[in-house]
Amino acid sequence: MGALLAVLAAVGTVSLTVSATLIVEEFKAWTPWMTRWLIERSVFRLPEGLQDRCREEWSSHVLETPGKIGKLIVAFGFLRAANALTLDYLALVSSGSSLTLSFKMPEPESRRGAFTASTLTNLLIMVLLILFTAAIRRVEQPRHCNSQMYPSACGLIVSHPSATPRHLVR
Amino acid sequence: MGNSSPRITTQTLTVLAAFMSSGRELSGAEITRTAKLQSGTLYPLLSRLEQANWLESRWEDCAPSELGRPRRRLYRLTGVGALVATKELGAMAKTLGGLTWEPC
Repeated sequence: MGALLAVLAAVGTVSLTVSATLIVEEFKAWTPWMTRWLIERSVFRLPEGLQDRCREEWSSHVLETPGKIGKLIVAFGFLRAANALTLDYLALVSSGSSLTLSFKMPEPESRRGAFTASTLTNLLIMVLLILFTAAIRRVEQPRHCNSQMYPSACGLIVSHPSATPRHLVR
Repeated sequence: MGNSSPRITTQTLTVLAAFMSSGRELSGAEITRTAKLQSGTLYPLLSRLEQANWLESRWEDCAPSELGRPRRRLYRLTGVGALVATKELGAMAKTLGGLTWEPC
């Protein structure tokens, strides 16, 4: 029995190591793509006049940042930057300032489309996260909890004398 | 907003101090490293400072095809920005205990 457990533990350890390595490798492989995607998502939220400038500037910023995780964190920050820049732009437009800068008035329809696409993406991410959390919870809980056969597995206190092993009963 | 002065916050002072310390043009990534600001905070701030005419920016001289990478946007203090930075950083230094700020 002990040998079997040792073998199972060894197999489990090897499997976990291999899985972790695979996951890390996959993550590394996907990081550049995710970084580019985040930059594009951020740029998409901006007014048209700022999009080209920010795309190039932010791409060069990411290239200057060391480490894949670092690049990803910086790219996440661009989402927040894009929101703030867009709000500044809207404030500028609503104030009727004569300052033109490099902003161009976006088409109302395209902005509405952008908002819808952005909202849908965020909703999709939320749904995936909820499903992922639910799946993890389901894995953690025992599937068939038969309280009559395995009372201790269900967290029940075994108080009935018949449930006590005979050699322990005095 | 327009040319109105941006609020002097800690982040604004940090960015101005980064420019005053370096005394040269800085890219966004360099400012991030120097000022220890996140990208989400930095770029809106740079935009506001640029709109207030405290900063000006330009692209790197070389074309992206020559560089083999996207061009960097380089920022530098304008005359107005340098004056404001000297004044505000000087005031902060006085508040903190009589330190003086001298640009490079």
